[in-house]
Amino acid sequence: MAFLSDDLIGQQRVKELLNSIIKSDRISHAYLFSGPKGSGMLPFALRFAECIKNSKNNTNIESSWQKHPDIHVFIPMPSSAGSQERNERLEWLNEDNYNLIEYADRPDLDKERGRNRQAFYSIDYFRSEIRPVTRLRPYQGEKIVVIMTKVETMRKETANSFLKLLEEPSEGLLFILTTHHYEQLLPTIISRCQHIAFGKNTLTDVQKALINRDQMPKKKAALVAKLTQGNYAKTRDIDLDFIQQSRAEMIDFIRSSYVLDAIKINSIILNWTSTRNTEGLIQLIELLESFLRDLVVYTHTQNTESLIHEDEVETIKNIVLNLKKADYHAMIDLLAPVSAELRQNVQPKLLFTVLAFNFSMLLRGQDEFSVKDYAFKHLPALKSRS
Amino acid sequence: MSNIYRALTRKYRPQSFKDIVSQEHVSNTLLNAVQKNRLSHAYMFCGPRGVGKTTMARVLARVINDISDQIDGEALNQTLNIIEIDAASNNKVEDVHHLRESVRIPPQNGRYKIFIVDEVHMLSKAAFNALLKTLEEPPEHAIFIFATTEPHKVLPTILSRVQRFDFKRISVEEIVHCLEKITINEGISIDHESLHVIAKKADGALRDALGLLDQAIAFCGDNVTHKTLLKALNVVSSDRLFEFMECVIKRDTSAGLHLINILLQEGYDIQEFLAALVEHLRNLYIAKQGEQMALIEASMDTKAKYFDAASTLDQTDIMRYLYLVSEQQVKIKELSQPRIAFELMFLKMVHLETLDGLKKLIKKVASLPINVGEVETNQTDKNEGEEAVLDVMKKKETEHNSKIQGIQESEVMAEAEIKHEIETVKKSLSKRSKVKHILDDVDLGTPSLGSSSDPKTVSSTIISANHNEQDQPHRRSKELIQTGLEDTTESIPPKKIKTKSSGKNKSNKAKSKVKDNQNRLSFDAIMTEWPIFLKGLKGRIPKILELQIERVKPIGLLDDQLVLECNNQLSKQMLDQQARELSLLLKEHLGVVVRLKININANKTNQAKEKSPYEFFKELIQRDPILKDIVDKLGAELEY
Repeated sequence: MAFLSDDLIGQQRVKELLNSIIKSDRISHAYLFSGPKGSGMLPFALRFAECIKNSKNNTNIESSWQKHPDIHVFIPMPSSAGSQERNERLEWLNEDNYNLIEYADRPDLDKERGRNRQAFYSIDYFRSEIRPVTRLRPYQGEKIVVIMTKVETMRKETANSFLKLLEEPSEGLLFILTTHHYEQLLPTIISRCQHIAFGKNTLTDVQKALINRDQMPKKKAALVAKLTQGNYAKTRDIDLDFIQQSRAEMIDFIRSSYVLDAIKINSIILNWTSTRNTEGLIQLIELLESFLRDLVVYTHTQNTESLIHEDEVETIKNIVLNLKKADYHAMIDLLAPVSAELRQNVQPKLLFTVLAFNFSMLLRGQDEFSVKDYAFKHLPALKSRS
Repeated sequence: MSNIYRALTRKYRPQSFKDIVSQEHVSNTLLNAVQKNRLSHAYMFCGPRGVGKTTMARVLARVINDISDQIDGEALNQTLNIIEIDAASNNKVEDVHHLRESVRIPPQNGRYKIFIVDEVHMLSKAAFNALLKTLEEPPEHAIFIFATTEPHKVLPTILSRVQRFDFKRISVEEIVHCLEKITINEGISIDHESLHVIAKKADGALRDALGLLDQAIAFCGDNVTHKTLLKALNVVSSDRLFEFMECVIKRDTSAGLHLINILLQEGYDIQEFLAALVEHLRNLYIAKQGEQMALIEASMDTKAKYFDAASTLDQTDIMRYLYLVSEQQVKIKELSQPRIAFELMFLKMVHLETLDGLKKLIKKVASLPINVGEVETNQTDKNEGEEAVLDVMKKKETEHNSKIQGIQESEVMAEAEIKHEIETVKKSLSKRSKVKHILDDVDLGTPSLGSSSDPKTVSSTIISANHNEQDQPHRRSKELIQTGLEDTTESIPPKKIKTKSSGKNKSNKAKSKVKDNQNRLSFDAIMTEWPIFLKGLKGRIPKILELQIERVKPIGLLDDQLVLECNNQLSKQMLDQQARELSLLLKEHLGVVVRLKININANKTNQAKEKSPYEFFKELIQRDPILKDIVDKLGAELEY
């Protein structure tokens, strides 16, 4: 079967499942793929779509999804973008199914940073682009396959008007939805689909793929696999130097917030805010979170095996040894609202400064600065705290 | 049509009232209404997903208009007299206008024209309002049927114009029964326990159950076994849960983290795992009670396993775990990296002090005050051996810290214990604060970082220090203890002042010995007491005043008037205003009434101005060896 070929990474269980679905010929009208980022749901969906149309007449297997008239791929789009942009992205996807095409991962195709665009399924997009497709009849294969990625970005109105279509689509119509946030979907959507859960790719799988597909040297592949925690899609785009640099900056940030070195904190934050867009800053927060998690894990286990940032073991040991009182749990708790606030366009400079001050307290094992008594709590940006 | 496979959910959509599973209260009412010809002109069907709202609406429409059972879906919509509208796609006011136009036209054949409006909660407010009049008094031939999962979003004026039916979730037994029928019909062999698993996962929705069954059949073929089913549906098996709890109880962090990693690689949803864990803990709790094992929905083997596992656990501990997990369950939805949150939750669970350990700690804490008392007497005995005493006290302090820390981990469920603990802690704390002040007395020469005399900061540092020592105690219990401690701190100040002033008096006697009379003080004595007094002021007066008074220098004593020298007009003004209060504070400290007189030193003004903050800081460093150490080690910089 075409499914088990090597160019799809890991996910043995899903492969088995999909293969047996194709074999059994009991193909439902809607599938929901859910899993962590970079588990390869889109490549699987594309392959699945290709296999379905080929399951009856095995004449030309090599024709890819891009050329096929019955496979339609939709990604959430910013309201400003036209369908031309979507086509560009799909062509890029066609070069390699594992390429990242989402706006969230890649605001601009030519890697130019600094543009933030919120991408989602608006009701207009749904009406003008997606619904017409569902009225078509299959041209070549057996089914029209509509693949929609990141369905959790669907607006409430869109999701609700999608419901009826999803429940009883016309014969020969198949939906494949993918999502990273299964729990954020409407229960009515979930209930209409067959749910297939993807797991995190194992590190060895990713490492193997990196060596075989991308001809990466073995040692680097191991490091990259570890850093991305099984997110293969991310590894393709990863700039190892960039990650290491931002991690160094981040450790600097923690250190200088411990000594409350205002000038240094300021310069680090300025550097971050001037070179990164919102998504970049959120990635930074996630990096910070994973680093703090390493600190907690190391404090509790004294064991370097399960650390994410394995190459920074010395720093982690150092910090844990010297700051015995630090409350990393509370520090991580502080990070959670920050990403949401960044999305709400709160000034990143202020957020990071507050973070630095709170870190300085928590690293010493004291309570964070409390905002409870302040009157400006009515600000919408702060409401998410409660 | 027949050669294309249809999902079970669509194939087995009920066609008549008797096919509909479990909603007898609705179907009986409707059937009676039809038979007795007492149909209302508007119905509202609400309930969770997959319980048969749309199906019921269609069945009703067919029954009223005598349409054959075979016609469903699109075909039903083409019968002219039944109009099914998706309100989510047609939610504008214009759409409702259009609907109203078509309501006026009588049916082509049959008695009624039926409008099924699905997902009605998505109609805009204007659209709802435009519908009101029509809905109240529609033409005789029109019947509206609304279906929604979210009735709370529908206007109350709409709700009052319709007959509302609430659909209930379908029970596990009913789903199993229904699935059994379908599997026999499809010629599929499946064991009873697997059906149970499906029904439980479907969570009261028949559509979900059928979807899951479909998936299971696609994966396993015509012969579905329990094991393959678990794999196909990715249901968290109870073995995994037992394994997880064992890691928690044995405090095996490495194994636990490894297990979490495996779980994620197998594609388990964290949310789902937490839900399963909550149920697992609930089962353990029931097993611990031991009387109502029937409440656990599992096979006999698993029940026995639960019974074994529960025997080693404490009831309260289970509840505390349960609290932790369910709290995380809510939080994890909003986090971008749920994996990390999950791991941290596990670590918290591992380091949760067991109740057994807590009881021991309580005993220790209860015995602590006596020890502290011993230390106190020790100190009075040995005036010389201050350092030794300090050591002892530091030891006690750390011991004490670790004990309080243990207490803080106690849970909401152990509230009664906590209250008791707080009492003991309060007692020991008040002793402790005494100790602290004695410690201050001893330690006066060198300003150490930890010994701030402000009661609030003392207690808060105690709390935070303990709190951060190793583990993460529970938020609520932390708050509980904090409030408890705040109570104590409130009660401390008067005591503290007492001890302090008496202590000072003693030390005054000992140190200066110049005092011949309680009411008269020498200038030297005041000079020696001055820095101590300044230290004591910290936190008791506004910061700005504190800064001013730190710069002031006492230069002489005229009768009972202390002459102070300051640098500029502003500080003189400020000090003059506060002179009364300051002298009161000074009285508290020295036990003697001293009035303050403030002069300006004109010569010094210029000099002081020239001193930049940097130079001032340097001077401070030279003056204070500890500060110098700090600067050397940590590279502190002046911040301004």
